Amino acid sequence: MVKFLLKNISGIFLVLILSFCVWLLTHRGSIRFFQAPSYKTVTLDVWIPIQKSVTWLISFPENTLNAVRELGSLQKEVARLQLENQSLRMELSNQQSLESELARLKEVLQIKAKLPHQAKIARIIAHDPSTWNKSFVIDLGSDDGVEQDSPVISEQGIVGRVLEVMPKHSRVLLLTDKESSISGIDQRSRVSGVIQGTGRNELRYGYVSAGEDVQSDDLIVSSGLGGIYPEGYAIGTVVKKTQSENGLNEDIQVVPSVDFGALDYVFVLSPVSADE
Amino acid sequence: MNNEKTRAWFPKEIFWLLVLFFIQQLPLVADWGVDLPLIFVVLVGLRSEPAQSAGWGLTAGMIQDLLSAGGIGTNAISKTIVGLASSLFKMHVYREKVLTQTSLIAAMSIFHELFVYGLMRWDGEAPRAEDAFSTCFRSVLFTTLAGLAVCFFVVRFRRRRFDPATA
Repeated sequence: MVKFLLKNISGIFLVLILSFCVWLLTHRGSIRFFQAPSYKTVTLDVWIPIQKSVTWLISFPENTLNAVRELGSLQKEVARLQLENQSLRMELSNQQSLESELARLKEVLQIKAKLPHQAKIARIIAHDPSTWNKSFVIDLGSDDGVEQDSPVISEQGIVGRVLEVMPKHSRVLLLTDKESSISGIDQRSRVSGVIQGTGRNELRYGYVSAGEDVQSDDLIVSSGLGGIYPEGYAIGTVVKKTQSENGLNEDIQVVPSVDFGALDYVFVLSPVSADE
Repeated sequence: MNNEKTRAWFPKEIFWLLVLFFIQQLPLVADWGVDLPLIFVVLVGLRSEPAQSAGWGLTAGMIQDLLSAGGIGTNAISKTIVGLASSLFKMHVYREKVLTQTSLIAAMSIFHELFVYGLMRWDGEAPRAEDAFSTCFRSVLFTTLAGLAVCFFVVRFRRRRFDPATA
């Protein structure tokens, strides 16, 4: 018997295991361990990290090789995308700039349509390089019908007059230049005087007798006298008023209506005599 | 030998002079009263012979007069003197120090503005004294500040290029 058992130990062992499995299958509902829902979770919790590490260890060389293989093409792709990004940004910036220019030009054309005098739109090319002179060069000249002493205005008011005319360009003398003067009138009280440039970003309202009704924030407009500038365009606003040293005149400081530093387009009007 | 050296030095100076004039005619620079050609003339004067410096002063001043609404000659005369004086001062000004060069620019700017004002008074075209003072003050202040920035870069650039310790 013992001999038989020893001889067939493996077969018996197999039968026992199979029997145990059959027993487990038939009795798993009554065994507590198999009733607990977490037994699979526990098994997986233990098993999965190990499996993960093994999988990683096996796939690491392959992944590394793939990454090295793809690195070259990825770098090329990144460079291409960076270039594309740059080009798109430039395109966007150009578009924004064009939109802004278009809006500005529309505004300029609307203003031109409203002007009572014949006007030409001119672009400012260069400002005066000297400290003591206030002027700029525009892109219209005698070929475009610009004449000397033509008044130059912007939507904010009077800018100056054409000083020199060249075939393709002209030089405009600004109101603020020390050589500039224009006949002005207080829009509120109708007190007239002469607006003179100071060489700074400021004007002086001269030849106004002491005691005349000129107050701060009064708007000074062109009076039309002098034969260069048309009537009724804004020149500047009174900011300060003091009595001159001799006591006969008022010393009135005026801030120009036009922001000369921010100008990019101006309107060149026909000389006043030609319009009338 | 000297002529060869001078010839090789010209294109760089002409390039910078043209660049300065393009910048000088931008609205912001013109509005602030910065005199970039003056800075150029002083810095060139510190690095060249008196006659050559006077020549550069005359050239820069003449271009400025030609591009300006004022009469021709005012800037030309003044900047010729500035160039000459800067060259004569070069033995007394330490070129590798930003502050010494900036001080010379400030001094030359004051001289230039007063000289131009004097010429305008002589010609009967000068603005009122208070306006002239304001214009001078603004120009000297902003020219000096711009000069400070330019000198800073000039000194740094030169040190990097020529200092064997950092080369």
